[in-house]
Amino acid sequence: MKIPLSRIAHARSSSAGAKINIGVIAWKDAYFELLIREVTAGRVKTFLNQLVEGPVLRYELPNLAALNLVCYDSPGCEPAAFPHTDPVVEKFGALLLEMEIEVDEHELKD
Amino acid sequence: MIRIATGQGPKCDGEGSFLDVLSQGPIDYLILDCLSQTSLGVFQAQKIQNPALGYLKDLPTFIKGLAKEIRKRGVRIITNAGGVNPDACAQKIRQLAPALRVAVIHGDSFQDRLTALIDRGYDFRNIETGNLPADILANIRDRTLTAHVDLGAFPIVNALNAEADIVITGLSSTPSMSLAAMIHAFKWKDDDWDHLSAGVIAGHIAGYRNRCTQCSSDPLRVTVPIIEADPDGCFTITKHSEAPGQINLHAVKEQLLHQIHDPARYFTPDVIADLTSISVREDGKNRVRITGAKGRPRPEQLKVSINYQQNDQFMPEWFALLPRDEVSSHVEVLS
Repeated sequence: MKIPLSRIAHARSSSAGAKINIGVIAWKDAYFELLIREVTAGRVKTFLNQLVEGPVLRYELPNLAALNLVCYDSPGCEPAAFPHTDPVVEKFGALLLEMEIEVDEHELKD
Repeated sequence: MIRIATGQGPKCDGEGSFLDVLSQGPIDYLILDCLSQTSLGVFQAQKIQNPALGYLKDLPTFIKGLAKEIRKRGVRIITNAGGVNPDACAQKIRQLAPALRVAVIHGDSFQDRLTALIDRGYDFRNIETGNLPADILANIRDRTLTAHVDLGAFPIVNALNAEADIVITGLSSTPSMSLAAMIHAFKWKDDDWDHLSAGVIAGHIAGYRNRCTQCSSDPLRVTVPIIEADPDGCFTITKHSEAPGQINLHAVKEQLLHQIHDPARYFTPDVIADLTSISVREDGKNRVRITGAKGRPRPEQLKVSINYQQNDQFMPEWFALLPRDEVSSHVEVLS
């Protein structure tokens, strides 16, 4: 079945210079395998579509049951003068949580 | 065990937030990270107008108000509120709060040497974009506002060893300032990579706008997070029980990934920290325990921050690298 990523994970995005990074963290450790399988760099790049022009790199943190996605070259999302309050950057995480993933129902029961 | 409270400037967090963190329970160190990405440029513009400025103007009066409490409780303050004029900031505090022993760190600014360094072949390539267009280079050479390097924890450790009540720096980060408190308290060695890594990871979580406290409805009464650090490199992120908000696993994990590139190689001036090495678990209400931090030897080059204006706008800071041996620092204790 198809579910939004938000069912299994939470996220926060931030900018560091010209890059945007999105930390995606499984709500339960058992969901980490689903993150690995479903949230590939390629699918993130496709989902974010024109928001990210450059490559997306994916780093795995099994210890946190989390992924760190680093997105290069986001047009219209120039590093802001006050990036801490940049609402555009902060919405990347929320947006990514709307991405649909494919899971079997039994995979959600821990 | 030591307790390190980490906040921002008195205007950002609200002075009341710091009165709370001082009165609601014990702390040993208070870190005030007053710099954001364009602060140094803004401070420099103020200093050009008035050479006596260039630091966080609100800080000395704020410290004056806290001085008695700080002395009574033995709390020591570390802050980068010195901006581009840490000396003036320290002098003002000395004047307003004469009972406090004030130390100031020199050596983070190399603006006066920037042109000479460029002429000697350093290109100050932007480490994020990887390139250095000719027009930006011209821009930097002609119109640089600031060029600073994060000196890391050890100059601050020297100031604490000299029994400073308050340490004033220019460019410094919450991880460096937090680590300094731990090195000083626990006598960690400068090649004790796993411990140094734990120190910067603790500062990384607790810094950056107090986000790990998931708080609050009142922007001028935020919950200042507290690091309870142990000599073995394990630590707990927590808060005073009276303080609003909450500390939980989810918020700490999110904060761990804030502005991170490769989590196995988090570059800081003193150590390359490995965020994939740690174990993170809830350890009671509003307590998250982090253990097992590993670190690798510090990078050969230091990260520098260059702030400049373009078309009268403060541009986001420009990060580049400079070899460690081009940089020196010293500590001055005012008396």
